[in-house]
Amino acid sequence: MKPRHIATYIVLTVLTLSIVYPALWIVMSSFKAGNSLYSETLIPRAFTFDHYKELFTSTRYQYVTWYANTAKVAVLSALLGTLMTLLGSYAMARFRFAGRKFGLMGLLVLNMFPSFMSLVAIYILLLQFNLLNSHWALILVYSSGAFISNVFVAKGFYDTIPRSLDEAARVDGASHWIVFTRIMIPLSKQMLTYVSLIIFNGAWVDFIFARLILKTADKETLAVGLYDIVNQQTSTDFTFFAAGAVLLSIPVLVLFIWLQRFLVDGLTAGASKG
Amino acid sequence: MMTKKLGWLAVATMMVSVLAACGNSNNTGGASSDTAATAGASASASPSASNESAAQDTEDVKPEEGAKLKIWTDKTERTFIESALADFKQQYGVDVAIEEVNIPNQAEKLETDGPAKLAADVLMLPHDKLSKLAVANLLLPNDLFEEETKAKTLETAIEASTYNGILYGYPQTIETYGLFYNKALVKEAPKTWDEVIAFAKTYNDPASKKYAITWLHNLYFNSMFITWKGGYIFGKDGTDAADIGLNGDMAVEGLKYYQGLKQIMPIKTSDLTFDIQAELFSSGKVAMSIDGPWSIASYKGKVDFGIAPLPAFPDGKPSMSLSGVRSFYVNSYTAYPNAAKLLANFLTSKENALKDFELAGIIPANKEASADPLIQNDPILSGIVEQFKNSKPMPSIPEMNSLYAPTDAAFATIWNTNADVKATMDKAVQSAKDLMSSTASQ
Amino acid sequence: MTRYAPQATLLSLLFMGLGQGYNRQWGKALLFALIEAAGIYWIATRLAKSVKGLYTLGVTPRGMVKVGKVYKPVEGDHSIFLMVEGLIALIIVALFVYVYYLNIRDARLTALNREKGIAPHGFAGTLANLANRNFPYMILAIPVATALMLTVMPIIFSVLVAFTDFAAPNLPPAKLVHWVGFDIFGKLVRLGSWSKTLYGVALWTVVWAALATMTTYLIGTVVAVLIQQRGIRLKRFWRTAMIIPFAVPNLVSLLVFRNLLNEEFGPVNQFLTRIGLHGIPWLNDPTWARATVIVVNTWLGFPLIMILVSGILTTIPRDLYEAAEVDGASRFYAFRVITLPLILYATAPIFIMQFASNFNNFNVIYLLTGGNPIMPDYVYAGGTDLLVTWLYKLTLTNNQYNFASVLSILIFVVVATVSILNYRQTRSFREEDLIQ
Repeated sequence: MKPRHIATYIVLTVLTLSIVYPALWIVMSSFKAGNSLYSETLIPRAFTFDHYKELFTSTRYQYVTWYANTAKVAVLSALLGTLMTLLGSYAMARFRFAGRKFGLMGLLVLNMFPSFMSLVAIYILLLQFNLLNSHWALILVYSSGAFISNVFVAKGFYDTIPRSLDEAARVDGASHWIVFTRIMIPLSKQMLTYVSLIIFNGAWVDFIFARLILKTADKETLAVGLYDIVNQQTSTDFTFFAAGAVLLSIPVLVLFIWLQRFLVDGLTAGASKG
Repeated sequence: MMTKKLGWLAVATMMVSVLAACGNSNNTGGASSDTAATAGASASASPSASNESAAQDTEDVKPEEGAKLKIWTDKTERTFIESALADFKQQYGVDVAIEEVNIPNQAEKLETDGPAKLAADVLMLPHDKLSKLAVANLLLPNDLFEEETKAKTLETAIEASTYNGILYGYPQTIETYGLFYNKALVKEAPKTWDEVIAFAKTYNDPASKKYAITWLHNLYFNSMFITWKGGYIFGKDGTDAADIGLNGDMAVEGLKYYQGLKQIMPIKTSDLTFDIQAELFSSGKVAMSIDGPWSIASYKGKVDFGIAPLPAFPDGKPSMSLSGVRSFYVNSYTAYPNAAKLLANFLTSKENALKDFELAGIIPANKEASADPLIQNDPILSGIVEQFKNSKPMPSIPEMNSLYAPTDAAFATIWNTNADVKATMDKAVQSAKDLMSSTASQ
Repeated sequence: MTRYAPQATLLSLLFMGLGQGYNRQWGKALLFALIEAAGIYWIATRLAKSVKGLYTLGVTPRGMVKVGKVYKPVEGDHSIFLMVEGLIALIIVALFVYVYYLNIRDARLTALNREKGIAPHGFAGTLANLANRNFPYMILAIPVATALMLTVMPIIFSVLVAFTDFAAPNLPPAKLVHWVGFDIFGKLVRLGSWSKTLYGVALWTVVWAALATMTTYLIGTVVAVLIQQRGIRLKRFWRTAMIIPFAVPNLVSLLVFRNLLNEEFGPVNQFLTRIGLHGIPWLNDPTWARATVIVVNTWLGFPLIMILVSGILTTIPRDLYEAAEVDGASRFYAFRVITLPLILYATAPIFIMQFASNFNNFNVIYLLTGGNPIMPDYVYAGGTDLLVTWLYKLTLTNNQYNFASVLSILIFVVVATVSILNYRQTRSFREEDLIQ
């Protein structure tokens, strides 16, 4: 092995350790006896499964309900958000129409306004629609937000698909709808996977907006519930939180690793023409 | 070009349904305020109500026809609330739904959800939140049961639940902090700070995280040093916002003593969190901790501990703690004010206060309940009850909120960097005043 | 030639759909007429009230009266509700006017076509046309309409708040909010403690955004290049391991770091003391804390860049390097003249987006330090507070809505201007029509 390679391996190993240690630490904490994350020793002295058992049996927290709610909100947001991003970005990338450049600029700029400033207004708006304490409110807001924040990556992706492809189909008499559904959508699988993964992840972990909208424990999502466990001045259920957090992270982690390839393709294509 | 519109058509149709929705929500709003008005009118219809005795008064009040209530409660209180609600239903036939909201969050939630008519009818607040919500007209005064509440409740609790001369709350519990001590490490709780210091010299071992005493550094706990030599937070018994006493000579003198205590508690302010303190105390590393009754449940069964009054100062003066009062309040947007008031009053009866003590370990604000031998002789709580005699309610004027951030900063500076106390407190008071003037002048 | 256009235009101006009816497009006529009817109904019942509410922000606040012994709330106006309702109304008016305009234009164009002898479409024809000529509008309608309501309207609201006295203790429902013009902007500059905080926090925000973006870029690129080297085994394993920080929710990983880096009790410092070093005040000293948040942010952010750069690296043709090798160029030289420029070129737009999002990076600061350590001479802000976390404290914790709004307008103007200027420079904006 060349010295250059050895050096590379050393650097990568050190990096990997520094990445894995914090993750491992929360896993260890979730098995630690007692309530506190603080442990005197590097590896806790006593291990227990109790916190995981408590997640599913305790009546103090409705962890299972939170999980189901979160899955519902995240999946539906990913579907609806991806659909909106798909429609919007395709139109922006493929057609030239009045107001297009202005629209693009507008979308870029909308990303940059601190979003929680809008919370008060969205709260009142949702109140008018009778949507407070409803999962649909979250789904709508996440999807529309996703459209705005992902439209550029998606548009960049469509910019990389040669025009000649759809023009040929159009010459053959296919309508825009046919071109869109039969040619373009199948081609955008990677990008769509990437976008839906990002939206899913966002919906899965949001606690700021969801905390404002959701009122009752039976509607709460994981992130809200977990955040409230540790956010008190007098919080003590930290190991319970750790167990909850490990289960919170697993689906996202699995999805990211499983869909890694799409992630690379989607991001690369989107970025290179951004 | 003509069909471009159809897309917009969809939008427009959507908007139409929006309008319908808006219309709807307004209608319901109107309806509920109508019921509230009629209910109020019928309640005040008996002209001689105020002349009658409290007991008769209670019998006069009936819940509204078809009343349904919602109450906010936290995890610790939940068991008590659940069992009390069953009795309430039996007595008045009113169903009450429970929603779990942490007590510190109930105030901010009432601010958003109250006007949206989504908040609970009855909720529980610490008394320092009262002023802000009362000013905003978010709470209904305790009018129907005023005499009864005043008669059955401890004076301090009544004061703390009153704003601008109007009684708002239905006080349930009083609390203050005391000296928690690990019986295995401390044979007898120290009576004075000198004893604490002497003990610390033999006990402290920072390398293995052993400390004689810990407490969290904020205005709530540190006020004992401010008041020792006669300093104060706000003038006129905590009601004069224009007179902040935190940088007065007497307060500064006390805080210098506080600064000197770093030798026995060599931990930076932000490193000691509640979580860590709890773990160190229950694992027998920290021998004593200044803490409140809310921690009792999490220590029970893990460590053999007792609670004593706070240690006295070198000149023999006792340490004055700040006390808090938690009371039930009625949301002013409630559709069923009478039922809600009945519920709040019902929960604070002697029987229920004692039940709350048994199930959640609270110290009742109810006079008879707090004098009950059950509480007076409770081995753990009696220390807190004792300390309560040397306590003052935390100031509850809205300006109090402007003090927390600057004083947190000041205590951190004094403790961590050994900064000059007078200069630091001057700065803190100045920035608190800046805050107040910038918010008040708008 | 029969003239149809003036009549059609006039009729549709009079009432939506009349022009279409005149053109014998019954389906379309009916739809437009329905919209007009709904619009009139709504204007008659609600518009005036909504607009008046937006203008006055309410006349009587909600009060409390004592009747006999009992206090009764007296319902009043809630300024903020009125403001949002007014805005919703204005947006609906704008949409209505737009539909009205389309209606007139449509009637006129169809009529002109009739003059030329082209028969108007039937309803089926209209629908078919929808899928072709107006396809982009059709598919844009839903995303744009939702964005208009859920993003644009709230932003307009937030901006308007800057011109009111909406701040504690002047909070509805017991108080009315009033329009105060530019007062708050002036106040921000005049008030000593505020402007000092603003200056300090703004400076740190800029430094943070620049450093945070550069470090993630640097580490991400280096790691990608290292893994991509020929002869390195387990490429997939390394890459997968490096994705972990990207996939673990911020809420979790940042709380972990907060505990790991506790000066007195954290495992990191315990380790340091065990090997004979001094503990470091990771989050307690302003300078250290700033360094710490940047390092932690690198931990969180570099995987994204690594993924991106890995993707780009695979697209660089091998022969470029081979040619360089033949010419006797060193590896580093090849990296500098081939790899780096390509990466920078391809990721420029993402770089700008990253900068903007770091500028507003709420989660890292809020969850890691909460803005601490405390700075004694700041108002409501600590040493690591960014403008955006300071804003959050102002709005949600301290109810200083108008100050927060003024600040967010300032941030917005700066960030948006920088971004737009940069974005216009990027290839994708300038050349996009050449790409196909």
